[in-house]
Amino acid sequence: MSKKQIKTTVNGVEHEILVDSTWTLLETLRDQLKLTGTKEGCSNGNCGACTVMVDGQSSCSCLVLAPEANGREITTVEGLADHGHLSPVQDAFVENSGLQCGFCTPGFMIATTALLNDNPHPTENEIRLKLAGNLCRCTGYDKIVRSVQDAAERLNKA
Amino acid sequence: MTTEIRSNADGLEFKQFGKRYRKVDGDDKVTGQAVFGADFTAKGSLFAKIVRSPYAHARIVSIDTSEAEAMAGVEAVCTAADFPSDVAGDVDTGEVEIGIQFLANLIMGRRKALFEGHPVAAVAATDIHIAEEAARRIKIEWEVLPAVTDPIEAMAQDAPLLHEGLIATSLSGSADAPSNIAGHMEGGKGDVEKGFEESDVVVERTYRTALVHQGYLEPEAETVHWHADGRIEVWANSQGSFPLRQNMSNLLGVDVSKIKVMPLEVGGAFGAKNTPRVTPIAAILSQKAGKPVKIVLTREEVLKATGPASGAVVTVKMGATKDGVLKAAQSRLVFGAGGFPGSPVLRGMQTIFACYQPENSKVDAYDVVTNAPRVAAYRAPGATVATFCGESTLDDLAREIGMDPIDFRIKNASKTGDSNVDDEEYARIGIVQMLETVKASDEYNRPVKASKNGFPVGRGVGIGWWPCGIEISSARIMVNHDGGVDVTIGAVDLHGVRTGTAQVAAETLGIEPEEVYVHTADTEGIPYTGNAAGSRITRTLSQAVYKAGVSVIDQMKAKMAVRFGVDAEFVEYEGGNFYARDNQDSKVSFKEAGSLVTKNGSNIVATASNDPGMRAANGYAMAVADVEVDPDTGKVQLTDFTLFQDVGKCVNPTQVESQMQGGAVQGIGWALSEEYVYDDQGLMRNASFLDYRMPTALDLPMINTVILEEPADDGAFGIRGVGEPPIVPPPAAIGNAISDAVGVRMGRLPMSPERVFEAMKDSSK
Repeated sequence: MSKKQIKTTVNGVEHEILVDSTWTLLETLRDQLKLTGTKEGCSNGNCGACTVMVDGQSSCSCLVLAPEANGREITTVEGLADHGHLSPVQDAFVENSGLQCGFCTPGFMIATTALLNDNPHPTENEIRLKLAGNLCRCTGYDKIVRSVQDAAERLNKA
Repeated sequence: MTTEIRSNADGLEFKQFGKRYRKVDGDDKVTGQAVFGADFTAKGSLFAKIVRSPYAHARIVSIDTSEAEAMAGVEAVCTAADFPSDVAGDVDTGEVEIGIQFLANLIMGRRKALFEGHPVAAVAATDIHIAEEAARRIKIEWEVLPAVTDPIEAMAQDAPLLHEGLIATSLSGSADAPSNIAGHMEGGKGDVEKGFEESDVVVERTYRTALVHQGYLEPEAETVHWHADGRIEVWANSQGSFPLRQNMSNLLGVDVSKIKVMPLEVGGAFGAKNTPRVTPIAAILSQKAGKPVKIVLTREEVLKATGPASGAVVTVKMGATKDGVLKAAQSRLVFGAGGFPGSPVLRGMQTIFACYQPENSKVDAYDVVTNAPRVAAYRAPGATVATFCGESTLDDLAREIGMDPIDFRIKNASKTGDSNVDDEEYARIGIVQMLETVKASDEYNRPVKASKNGFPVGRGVGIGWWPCGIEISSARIMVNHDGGVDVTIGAVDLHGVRTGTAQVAAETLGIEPEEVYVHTADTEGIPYTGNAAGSRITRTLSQAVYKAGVSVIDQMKAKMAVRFGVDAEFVEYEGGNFYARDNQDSKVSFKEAGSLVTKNGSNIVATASNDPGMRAANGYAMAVADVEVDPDTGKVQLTDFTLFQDVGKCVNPTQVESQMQGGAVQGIGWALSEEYVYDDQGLMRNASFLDYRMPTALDLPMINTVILEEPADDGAFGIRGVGEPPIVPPPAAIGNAISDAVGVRMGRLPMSPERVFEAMKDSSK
């Protein structure tokens, strides 16, 4: 197993990490950087619990190899709140109960943030389409869609 | 549409109930701070990998672990030989039961593997990648046996036998020879043959449903440390810390008091995480290695070897007179249990006709072992399948006698004091009220929206029953020196227990929920509390909190009496203030009083559990589903969906709606897309979330909810269970909607495009 030194920015902090070339970005975040907010639900890109932003694009971190993160900017769920203040997306999800057990939630936080960055006025169908890669088994998605709508409204007012 | 609450709550008015209080565990979950099983790693922990059977049915000829044990970094290897062979005592796996010896053999296969994915060995190493490599180097010689995954085929006399000594038991005694039939249960009343003779119309149908998985997003993940002094610590991923402790005690032969279970956040469970799967394996590896051992399952392991819910074959026959009297109802339910006995077929039997009072009834229930993963509880276990079969048949019967399907249901509905096929008498229920509410609702009466695609559209209804569980829950209320309140509970919070409990405690104490902090304790921190299962926690825990709260108020009154200079009986507590009865100006708020009376080393603490004699509050929910059906592909699109549910008394509408919507969507997945696909070797062909197809946001409309309140008999607040009933009626309502749209009665679950297409083709022949 070959090791490789990578330089990557995670939530605004630059890290130099010695990674194994077989490690995924997900296990590097969780096991090396101890950022356990990002979850592993399936390890093959089907559930979206591991979603992070790579250079602003929403990506399944279980499908990204650690060396591919070299020179990239990564945002995880831990990077969304500002000095303890929830982001509008985070607060909208809590306020509208767009979560129950919370395991898929970090993925939805990132996917929603990326969605609203790209499209500040999504229709219900656009929300459902863009979040179809993130599975939730608790909510039936109703309150998630409403949370995203509320977050969009808050961001557009701000 | 948002929820409306249609209350019939007898003047039960509560200040803190009905409020959309913010979910207290929300902030930790949206920031990634909440700690789930896989997020916790004990200092010095090893990481383990389980070796599993690649065959659905095979005898273990030999296991050679030497090469794995010799690998650098490997610190422990175990097989069934390392587990106690003689286990005794009860195990508690929630609403789906299993004998302890069977559970032990399920956790670690002994001599035989009974399903693909059955654990047969495990390795703990300093690194998970080393453990994975070592697991591959364990050499197992197998004698592969023929496998059977279909419960009807498994019942045949010439079927491959899973357990050589399995003798079916029934009311009429024991069978003569071993078979895969573990049990035959019977229920009913009257004479069904006479009932069918008196009927003008009789409908009989047979249904077949696939295995489905609970589909929680978080794979099982636990850490166990078996210390040198004999103490065992468990960082658990379980629905019940106390039942897990008891199960571990009996499975490992260790005293309960030596085991401490510390619950972590649980990423969905839905019944499946009542069954210990990995905890005992981690314990044995930890004992051998002398270090903590962490096991995290993969999604493939979860699908192949945990959960699922039974696949079933059910025949239903119902007869009625032209004026709508249900003369007879009969059913034969065959449920696959997987590798070991104990499917929820008994629950299917109890629920299939529970909403009705047929004049004559007969139910036969068969529990059959198959070479599939041993089933676990799944949200109202047994009821969803039984209700699909019962409600589909009932709907056809109503059509054939020419009666509105809801009128037919109202005419034959169960009422308070009636009894079920198992003779259990119903406490207060409001089935008729629910049916009448639905009948009068806009959701049922407005025209079904025309399809934009020009496809046929239809509407269907279904009502489902679930008795809900009781068991024990415990709570402790402690007043802090600043007058704030800590509430400690033993219940694992799966979906909103801490939030609801803050409201219940605030209601009881006459304060605001913001002044209450609720947390879940480990097994050393609070008396016994059962599994977070059976929709039982809010109903039972609210009574425990109420009892503790009343004691807290009494204690504070006694202490304030000294300050007021009166006897305790002259101290009142009202509107959040203590005062001496003869001096209205003496008012002291709860917070001030709490601060005053807990100074100088004095304390206010009360611990309570709910009344063990508390009766179950039956739950029931009704779905109205609108669909359009693509005639070219058979794809069913749900276009509108409303769930009506009687919750007795609603504590937090947001949390109640969440349960209703989540349960309904699990039922919708069961109805339309989810199934285990087996090949003829008994191997699962779709063990991933790509191929095991759960609903995504794009598959669904908004899920409308209507909360009904017909208070339950016992308990402090009239609360019924909420979590389970919502999953029960959706497949029935959707099947009935498909029938309404295209005139085809679906006899299979899931009602996937292919099946609906074939059914439409057959009916047009």
